[in-house]
Amino acid sequence: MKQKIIALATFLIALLVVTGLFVALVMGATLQELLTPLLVLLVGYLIIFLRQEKGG
Amino acid sequence: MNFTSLDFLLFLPATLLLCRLFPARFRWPLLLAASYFFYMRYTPWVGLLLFGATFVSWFCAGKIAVAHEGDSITRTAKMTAHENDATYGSRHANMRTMTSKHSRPGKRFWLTLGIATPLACLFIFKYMGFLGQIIESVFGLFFGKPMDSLWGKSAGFSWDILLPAGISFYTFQTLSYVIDVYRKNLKHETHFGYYALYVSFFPQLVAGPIERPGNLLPQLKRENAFYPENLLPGFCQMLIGFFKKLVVADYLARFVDVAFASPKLVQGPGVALAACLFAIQIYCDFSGYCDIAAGVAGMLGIRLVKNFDRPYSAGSIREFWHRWHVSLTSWFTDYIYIPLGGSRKGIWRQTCNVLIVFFISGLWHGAAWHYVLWGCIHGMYLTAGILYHKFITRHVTRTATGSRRTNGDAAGSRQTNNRDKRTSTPHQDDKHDKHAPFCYGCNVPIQFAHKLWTLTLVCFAWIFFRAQTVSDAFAMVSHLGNGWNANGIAATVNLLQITPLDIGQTALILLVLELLEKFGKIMEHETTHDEGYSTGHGTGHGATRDAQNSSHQTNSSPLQAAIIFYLILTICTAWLTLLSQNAAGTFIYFQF
Repeated sequence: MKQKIIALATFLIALLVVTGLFVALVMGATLQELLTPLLVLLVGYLIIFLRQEKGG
Repeated sequence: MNFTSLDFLLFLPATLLLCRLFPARFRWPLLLAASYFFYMRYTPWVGLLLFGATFVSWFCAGKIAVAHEGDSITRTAKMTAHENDATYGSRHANMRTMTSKHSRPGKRFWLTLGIATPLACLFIFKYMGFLGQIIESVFGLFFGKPMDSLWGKSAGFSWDILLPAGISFYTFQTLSYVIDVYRKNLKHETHFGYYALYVSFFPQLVAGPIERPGNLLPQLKRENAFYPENLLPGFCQMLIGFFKKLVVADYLARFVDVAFASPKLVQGPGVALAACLFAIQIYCDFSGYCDIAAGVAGMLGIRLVKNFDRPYSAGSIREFWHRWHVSLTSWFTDYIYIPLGGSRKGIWRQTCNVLIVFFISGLWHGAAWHYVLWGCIHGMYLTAGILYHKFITRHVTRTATGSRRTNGDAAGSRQTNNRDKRTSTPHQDDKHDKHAPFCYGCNVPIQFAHKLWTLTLVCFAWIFFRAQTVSDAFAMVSHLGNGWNANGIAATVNLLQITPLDIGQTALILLVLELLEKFGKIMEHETTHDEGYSTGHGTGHGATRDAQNSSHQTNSSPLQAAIIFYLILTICTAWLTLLSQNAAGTFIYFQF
């Protein structure tokens, strides 16, 4: 169940991020502006993954 | 072809697909063709050079192997004939001596040819211009005017010839093969195709790691099929490599480039910041390349040697060289340092050998004085470390043991010293404290201080590596003490055009980098269980492993998928942005 929630959340966030990136690109965003949300998401997922590995 | 080029996006899937479709026995010609295509994509003539170096080294090694066989036959004949000597007199013995005298120079001739030919190519393409500049400078010194005016030329000595990518790397691979065959450490590979693939294997052809024939050749010869289970760990490693290169190294390059382009304007904080950022940039650039190479090779079921092991966490310069460009360090150790005498001939000879090795290491990195100076600085660091170590060891031993030392202790100590001397290598002088003699075993703050000091020394040396010329490097070093106030910091921020977003993003990137290193290790460990990429051998154990993997992957697959997805998205965003700005640079080590 937990895995399904993670998968669904990932899908929804991914959908939002891709749409956001597309809009930002069209509006002429800079590299930093584009990368920042992706990096924040990466940090979040990596921390969850590493904690899970450590716990398991 | 460059890993960050669009061509590679098509080339890699095509190669993997062909490897999947064709039977295992066609793997080597397929990979060989792919490797030559990869290398000759933009400049086709460099393929001839690669082929020439490959063929000459293989031919010479073959001749050496034949001479070895001749020697062993002679030795067997000698043993048999020894019994007959009493019967037939000394005439046979003289003939045997003549045979052995003839075989020895034969081997040496082929060894010399096998070493000299690739080195000559390297010299012509890489060092000819540098030598010309030196000669020109010497003439200018003696005659008061440059050599071009003596020769009636309008321009100075110029050697505008394209440096073939990766020439330093594959030259060292061919040299190690010829020398290993000569030393009888390796059996000559009679199949030219396998050997040609060993030299030209495309993931590691252009910028290493410098593979040893003993590691790579048996893997290439194994006629294993294409295993889909190798794809995921290889792909993950490749993504981490791309992240290091495109998101970290190329992002930091714009600050570093500005600072090093204006060495006379930049102030102390700017120099320090540029040196630190360049340290991260070059690590991410080169280890990123190695990760991509290892990932691509891993997808093909081949495990390359590990070239980096968190070098900036080293507690001493010696440890740093155990962790940075490991394949080059071990190459220099085995083929230059140990033949020079290593640490077996006294401390002064050892320091001399270290300096020679690092002088050559600097020259290997580039045909310019600032590279040589960088190598010499590292040589001096290590020399100082060796002398300090010796001094402390003597002092501490004398103080600790003093008059309490018994004869038995002294004998034991002598034995230990002798054992250490026999087994020592340039970076492995003592087995018990091979990495950081005074760091480990200390408390955490002392260890941290050692690491910080080592990092400072390494960053200082990077200034000489990155500067355009020696005078630029000295100009930057001379500014290092200036401007450590609010005005100096403001000037640095203005010069490098640093915004608050840049600071936040750099911190974020470094955090992701640190987490990714751990993620990569876990992925590799989980999928391979420290046994390398799957090769189809040991199916029984493999089946158990697969079962374990699949169960584990089921647990963490959504998370892994999410990480891989965002990683791809980040890399693509950075790559497209850099491409649109024409800012995606080639790998730094391509020029070596």
